[in-house]
Amino acid sequence: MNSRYPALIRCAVPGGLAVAVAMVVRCVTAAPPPDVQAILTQHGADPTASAQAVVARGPSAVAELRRLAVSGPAEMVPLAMRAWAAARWTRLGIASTGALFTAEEPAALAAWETLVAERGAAALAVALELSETPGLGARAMRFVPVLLSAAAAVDVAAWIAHQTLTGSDDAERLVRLLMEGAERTRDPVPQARVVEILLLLWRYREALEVAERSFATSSADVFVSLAATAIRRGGSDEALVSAFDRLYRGRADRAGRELELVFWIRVAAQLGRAEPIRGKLRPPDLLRLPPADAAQVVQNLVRLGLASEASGLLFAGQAPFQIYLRAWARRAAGETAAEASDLSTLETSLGNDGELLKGEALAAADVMDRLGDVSAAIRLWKRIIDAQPPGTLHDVNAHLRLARVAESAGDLTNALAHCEEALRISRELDTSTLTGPGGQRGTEWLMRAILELRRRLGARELRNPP
Amino acid sequence: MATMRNVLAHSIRLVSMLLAVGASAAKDGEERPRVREFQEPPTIRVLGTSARFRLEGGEGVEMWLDAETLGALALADAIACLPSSVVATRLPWPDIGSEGGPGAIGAEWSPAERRLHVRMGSLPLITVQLPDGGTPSRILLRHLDRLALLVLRPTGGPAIWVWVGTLRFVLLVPDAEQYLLCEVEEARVGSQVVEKSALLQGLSVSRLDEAGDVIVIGRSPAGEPFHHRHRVCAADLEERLNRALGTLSRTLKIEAAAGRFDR
Repeated sequence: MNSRYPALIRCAVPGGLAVAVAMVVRCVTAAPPPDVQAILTQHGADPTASAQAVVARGPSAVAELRRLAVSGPAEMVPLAMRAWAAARWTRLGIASTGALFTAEEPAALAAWETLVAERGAAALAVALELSETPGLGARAMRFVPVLLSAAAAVDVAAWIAHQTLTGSDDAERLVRLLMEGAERTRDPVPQARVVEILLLLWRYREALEVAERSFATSSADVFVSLAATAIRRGGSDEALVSAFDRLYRGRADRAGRELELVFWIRVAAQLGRAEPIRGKLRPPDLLRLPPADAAQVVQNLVRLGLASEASGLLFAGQAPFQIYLRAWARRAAGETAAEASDLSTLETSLGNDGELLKGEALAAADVMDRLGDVSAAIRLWKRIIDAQPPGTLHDVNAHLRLARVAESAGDLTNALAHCEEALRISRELDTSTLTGPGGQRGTEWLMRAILELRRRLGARELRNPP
Repeated sequence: MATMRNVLAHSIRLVSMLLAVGASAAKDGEERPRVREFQEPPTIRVLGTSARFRLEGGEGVEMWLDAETLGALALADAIACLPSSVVATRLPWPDIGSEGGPGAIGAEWSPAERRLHVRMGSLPLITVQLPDGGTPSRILLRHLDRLALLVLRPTGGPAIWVWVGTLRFVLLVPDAEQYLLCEVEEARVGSQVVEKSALLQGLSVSRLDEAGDVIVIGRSPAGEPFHHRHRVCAADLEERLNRALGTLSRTLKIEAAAGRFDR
């Protein structure tokens, strides 16, 4: 809005006169700057007194002091810098910075937690100053997640919005601080909180940026839905279009490309937008994906009406799970003859002369299960158990899958039998290769699962005696 | 010198005028930002007399119903709707246990044709044709925000009103949370002005056919003006509600048949 005035002036009057008039107008309309230089001169030797006097004059005086410290007249800079060093904390009501500045990690974190408990979202101002203090930036980044876990997203957003409306330039710096905080932590909870705050502030571009980066570290579903919200509220598919253009033009073997692709396809599927994807994928995009991701991508493409495109991209797929995915996409596209041909190819790809490639079969069965073809998955898991050689890690996994299916069908006896068999095999294997959910040790997790199933079976028998 | 002063004075006047025009244009632009359209349909929250049981109706319909309404849905063999295009005002419904009277709605069941003729006194209102299959003995009739369970005699004739209930509707604007930190200067559903709190928590409408586009005018958290229009189609709301009631009625019967309500 303000940028219109110079343009108008340039058009209306020639050269120097325009500049002169503009300066007159600017001098008349702008508020006079606070007389900070006079304060500095008055208290010259005592920076604390200068700081207190400037802070008492209000935020505009503090801003002026900061300006003088950075780019004031040469003779004022040393005075202004000393006063600013005191004022930056005085204005935030921080009497002593010792614990935050110098204490070791647990004590510093405790001091920070106390500050957050006392001030809530306003403690972010202190984190901002810390982040801009040489040598303390990393410490501030460790404080940000603490604040985000203690203060509600709406409170933090409201506090930042207030800074914007008061004309302070802190809002931009605060947004950058939060974005940097989200990038430094690998915890999806504060990362999601940052995206929520950015959404509340209508900073959709930044929200999308943080969601995409955070998905790359945790693959958490929440970032897909937050990114979709950002695009929907922002009212433009431009981000989607440019993401797929970027992926299309980029190198197929670039590190991290798979995750990026999965993220954007899931976002597009959630928004129901097929156009940005159409014609923008290449066969390696799908063929390089691991089974679970490939299944998810194909499922999303089919949901978007791009079944033929998905089957075309998988044309060169040789792995059994890729052949199954191609068949599945062809079924969705109504190409039943091609589907039958793929299913027959799948059978031969699982092994020759009665041998079953157990690893390949397990991946294909997992994909079948994921796509809702549970009966086919069960058949394949049973084949893995029956096939030679017995007692492999794949047998353990097949037993566990069958136990899960049995448990969800309410067949606890069968689930227990599969778990016990899995435990028996796993004891004969090198246990370091077994991992339970969340990185637990596999055999311990299995034993706990067995105990839980026995408890539930016992309780059921008590309720319904034979 | 005088000429110079005149030129300067003239230039300053010209600049002032242009600045005034610019400022006025900017102000007008600020007051009337471009209208942004949101096409996502709102979620319908359907509330019974007491919101005891929460069920998903699918297609963006949430049901928060009481046991009586759920019971009526489970018992009904079919669901019929008296559209607001036929009767736009609430009509007097007959007493429980009656067949309707001269001053109230009545319904005549023709088993051979599988048709239910709904009338107001002697004035025919609508004929509901039931699909083939099975012999319906109970029909749930909805008109605006009211439901009634009618028992049909196998031999035909006037249907008997055995239960009546009322629904309330709340429309949840998609992404309403975005207005949380905004200064909302004006919010409307159709022509009805609503509070910001209602916009955030859900807009109560007594009748779905009265719902119109949701207009929100205000300033963003950064202080920039905005003008949003969330498209709301009353006919779409009605259709989604009817489908949700039908789906829920069928689901309840399947659940009952499977013995899942034994406990």
